[in-house]
Amino acid sequence: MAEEELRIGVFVCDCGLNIAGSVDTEEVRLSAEKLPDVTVSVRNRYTCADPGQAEIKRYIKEYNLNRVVVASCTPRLHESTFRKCVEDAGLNPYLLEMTSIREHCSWVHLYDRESATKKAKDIVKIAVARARLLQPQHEMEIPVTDAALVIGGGVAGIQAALDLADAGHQVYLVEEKPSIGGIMAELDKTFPTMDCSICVLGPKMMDVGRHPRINLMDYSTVESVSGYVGNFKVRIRRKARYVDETVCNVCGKCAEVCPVVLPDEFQQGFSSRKAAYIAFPQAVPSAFLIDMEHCLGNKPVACAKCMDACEKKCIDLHAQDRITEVEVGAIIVATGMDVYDPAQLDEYGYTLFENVITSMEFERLICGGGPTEGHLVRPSDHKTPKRIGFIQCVGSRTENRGNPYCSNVCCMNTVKDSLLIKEHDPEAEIVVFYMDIRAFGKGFEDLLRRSRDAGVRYIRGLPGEIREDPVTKNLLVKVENTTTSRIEQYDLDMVVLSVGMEPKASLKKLMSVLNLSQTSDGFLMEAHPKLRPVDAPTPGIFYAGCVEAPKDIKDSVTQAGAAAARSSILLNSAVLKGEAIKAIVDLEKCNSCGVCARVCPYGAMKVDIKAKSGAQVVAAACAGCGTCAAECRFDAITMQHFSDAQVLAQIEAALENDPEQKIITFLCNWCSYAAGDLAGVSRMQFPPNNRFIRTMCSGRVDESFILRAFEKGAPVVLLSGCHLGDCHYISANHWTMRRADKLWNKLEKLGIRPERLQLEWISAAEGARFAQIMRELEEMRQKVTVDEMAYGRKVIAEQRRKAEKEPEVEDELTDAAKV
Amino acid sequence: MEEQLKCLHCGFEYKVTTDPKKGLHERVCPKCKSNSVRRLPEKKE
Repeated sequence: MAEEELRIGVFVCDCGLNIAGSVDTEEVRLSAEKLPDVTVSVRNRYTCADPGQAEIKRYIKEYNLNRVVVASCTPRLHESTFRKCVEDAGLNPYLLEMTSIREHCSWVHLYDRESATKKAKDIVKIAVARARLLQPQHEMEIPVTDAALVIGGGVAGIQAALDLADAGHQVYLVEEKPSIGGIMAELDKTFPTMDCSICVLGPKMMDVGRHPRINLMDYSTVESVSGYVGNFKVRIRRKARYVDETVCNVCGKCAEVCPVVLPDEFQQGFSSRKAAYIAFPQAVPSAFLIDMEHCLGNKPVACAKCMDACEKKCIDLHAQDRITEVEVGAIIVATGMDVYDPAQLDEYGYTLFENVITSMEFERLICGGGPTEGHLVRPSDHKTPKRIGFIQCVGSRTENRGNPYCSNVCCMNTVKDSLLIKEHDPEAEIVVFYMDIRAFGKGFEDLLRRSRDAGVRYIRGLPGEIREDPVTKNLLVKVENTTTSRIEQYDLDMVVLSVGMEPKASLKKLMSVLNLSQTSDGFLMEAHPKLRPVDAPTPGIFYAGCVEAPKDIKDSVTQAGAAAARSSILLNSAVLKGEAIKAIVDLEKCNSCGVCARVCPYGAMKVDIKAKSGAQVVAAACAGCGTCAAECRFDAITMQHFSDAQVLAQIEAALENDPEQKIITFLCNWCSYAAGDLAGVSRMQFPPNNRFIRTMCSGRVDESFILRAFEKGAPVVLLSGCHLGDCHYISANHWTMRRADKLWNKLEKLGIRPERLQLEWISAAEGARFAQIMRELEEMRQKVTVDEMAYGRKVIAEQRRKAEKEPEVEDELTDAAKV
Repeated sequence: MEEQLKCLHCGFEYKVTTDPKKGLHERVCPKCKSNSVRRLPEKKE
């Protein structure tokens, strides 16, 4: 196929006096006219205005242009405007290259017209060099399956499922336990309204059970998930209940005759159940099941009394687990949390002293549906406790044993519990030992005041130890009251440990199935903690409830509604427009090493290392960060629209003339480039020696880009991106940091001062810091000698030539390969 | 794990103790606040 003749149109914007005030735009236009493959170079007063856009369209048609360069404001402002403009004129929108001569030039070099003009000419030259290599790109269209999977049937999962189903979507609700309800079903009352927990939750559970668009898969687990946003395939294991829940009428005769007695988990072990049991009276589905792990056996059947007693004949002791596959467009993860187990804290004597209980156990003890029918008794002698202590922050806000974070709900839960005790027995003496009381929510402070007014004593200080009187089983608590600075001792009948929340033990497995990440506290990481708090970094997956962080019922329900709304937006789209900037693999070069799969934050690269069949890109999952392309040692991966050839052409264009005067600066689109924009908007002045090269992510900046810059004579190179933890591509910039470490070592080995490569994380809000860094880089540039630049050019060129002759891999593996 | 770090911006050298299990953390020079902080290779005995 004959190569297309390049016909580039350059449009230089005056932006009124915003650009033309400090840049000679006519000189820039004339300079652009002389660049290779430029057919026409035009100056506009306001290129983004309708007449400016009309002019671009007219020139495209008149001159048969097939590439367009717009040199005006930041592409972060008007790239989409001009893409639409060139598309209207019949060009592929990705054949547009937009570059900033305003924020990154005229506004930051207001008082040096000559240097600003020189820099603007370079900026256009760099843009034309890239435009010459642009290729048409196409955004993928992905069909969406109009169904959602909700994992977890606590209050968050229930709310999300109901919201989605009410919005008209098919929902599969998967709950690992025999009933939905979660932790909320175990609570007595809820704060701050003191509603009966199951009275509030029960009707919602019933709604789930009978909703025509909700397929409730109780006693089930998600085995595997494949596919991508809009098109997930989910394999679900439905564990055998051994009782047909569609037939069981909850008569309870099976349980009556069952000989196996076990602790009742729902009642926190304070009462018993049988191996044939129902999870709790309000369970949904409302049906019994057989706990086969403790049943006398079904292979062969050892007892079968339940079968004989069942009038509906709905027990099948030979039932098998079933595997079901469903297709969904969105997934909501609402698997909740675990409660901290304080048994490891010897000083509080939990499990050693009968009258030390947890706040969850207290919920069952005081609940009307609990083992004592709501009569508060202490476990050792079943007498009503008169002096009760609560110890706060058990397992929370501690670095040593437990978790460093605040569990969010324990303070208010204790305030609620203190009032419940006072309702039962106004004469009861209650002492709460605390670090801080966090009553931040609506109605919380009022509830705390009610508790104090009711006579509950709040002592600031956490006990160091609890001792038990072996005769009375009373508990002796010694504490330093930090308000009075006195050591105080309390003789209590019962102590409640206010235990915190922690990530579910089973979360790791689910994370692996769904390719999710966790934050340092162990809860799931959001796509963005402020702007996309219910989105997982993996597109099409959302969070609801405590799986994301400890939260109360109200916040869980709010988040569930948000997750359902976010899912609904996705499910309502017939097709999704996918990212055009994607990785593609050259299978002839790929040797299936698997590095790309390891570094991809989205799990978008699939490699069968054993089969050596080459890496495959899951196009719908690829977000376009380019880390895979930068880490591939075989140059087998090309990032569309940010190819090696394009970036290298930019570097060479920037350094073609006077390279010793220029600093090559790699900026990521989302943070450091935006910081440069902010510096410009704020008119923060800095020297004009930098030449900016934008990539979508700092993770895209290949080692070869930096070496090429030094080879072409750059005195200093800056690699910059989002702060760690803020990366738009989850953790792609971690690889940038590793690469910088590796490059510094390499430069040193080559005899080049590692200081010539700088690394800075600059957020979009750090315009002032951006400008300051530019000033400091210029100081650094001036200290680089001509000799060392010449040496660097020589040694890197020699090394490149050698590598081209002997294309064997370098002497060391990439960090990714070592992982 | 103890790491020897050097700021490539101001030249300040210092040591930190890191826990590899906790993953990567942003390195910031305590003197000049630059992120150009290099982990120096371990010296071979």
